[in-house]
Amino acid sequence: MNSTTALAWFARHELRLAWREWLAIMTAGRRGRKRAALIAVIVFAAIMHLPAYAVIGRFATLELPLDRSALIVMTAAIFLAWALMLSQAIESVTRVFYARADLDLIMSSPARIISAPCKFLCAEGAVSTSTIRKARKES
Amino acid sequence: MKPVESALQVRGLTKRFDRLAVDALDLTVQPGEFYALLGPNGAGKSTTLRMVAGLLRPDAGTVGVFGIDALANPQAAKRIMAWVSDEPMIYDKLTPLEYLEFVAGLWAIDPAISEPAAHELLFSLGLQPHLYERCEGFSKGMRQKVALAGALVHDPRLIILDEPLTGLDAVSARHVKGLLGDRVRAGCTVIMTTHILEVAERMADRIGVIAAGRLVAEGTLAELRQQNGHHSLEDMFIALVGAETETAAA
Repeated sequence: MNSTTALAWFARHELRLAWREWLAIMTAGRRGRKRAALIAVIVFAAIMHLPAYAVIGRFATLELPLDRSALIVMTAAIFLAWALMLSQAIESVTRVFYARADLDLIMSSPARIISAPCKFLCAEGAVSTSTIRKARKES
Repeated sequence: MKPVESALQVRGLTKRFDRLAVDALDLTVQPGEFYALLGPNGAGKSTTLRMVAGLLRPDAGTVGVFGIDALANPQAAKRIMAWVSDEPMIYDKLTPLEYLEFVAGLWAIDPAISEPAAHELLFSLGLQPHLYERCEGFSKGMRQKVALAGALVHDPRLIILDEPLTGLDAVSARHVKGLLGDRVRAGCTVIMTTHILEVAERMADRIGVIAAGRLVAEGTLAELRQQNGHHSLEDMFIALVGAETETAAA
């Protein structure tokens, strides 16, 4: 297995775990609730569009080129959202790292690519994906 | 004639944390041997095995695994080794089969080989009814068995186990002991730490007693009896460890 394949393989493993953990939270651990959870998520996302529209709807009429104040507000809003997601992702991945404690298994294997920092990045990528999912749902 | 390579050859292995955990330890285990490493809590057993498994870097010394320098070429050594810790980690959200598939992937084993091996291992450990259940609801014994199956899926030549029987019920312990016995008979080398002296007495070809990071006694059960003049391993162990602990304290 070369480095790229190993990284992709490991990222797939992390995504599978992150997806199942997220689904377990959404369905409270009951597999029969998948459909109800999916409907609830869609309804929730639809409802959250109302406050989102109230906040950013007024920018919809803006026309190019944008003035300085509009650019500052938009950049600040994007930066704030990005910083929030990043801090959430780092906090979550650290928690996952300690909760799983799978480094012994991985470090005792001959997989060369899977060093601790690489594993951290893959886990962070997977957790970030779920954080973005969460953030999108809430925005 | 080419001399037989030791399965494990440790020379002058040293590790210091706040105190000296392993003190210039020498240890040799022959291929096909079941070696039990005994010692009181904090004696340096787990630290020694973690260094052998490549999870800790020693401060000094050498580790050879079937002639491979495990410090200079850890990947080659890890390829033929398996490590099972006393608190094995398995993923709650995976089924035993998926877990074994993941472990086989870490060792880059072809799924065409690892899948039948995984089924066979889980079957031999009595986990067949739970192949497609996620591990989140498993008892400690079941988790230990899944971890053990994971360690064996790449068919290692050297298996290192840290307290594998702690917390297992009698049936699970028998499954694990049976599987390890089968592996040794098939030519695999097993090194195991345990606090259960009866297991060492019954299963091990040779026993090493470690105290304060040093090997204070080693040999077959008969040799240890002869050297120490005690009939039971428990009496021997207490005499050896007690004496060493007093020396270390002095």
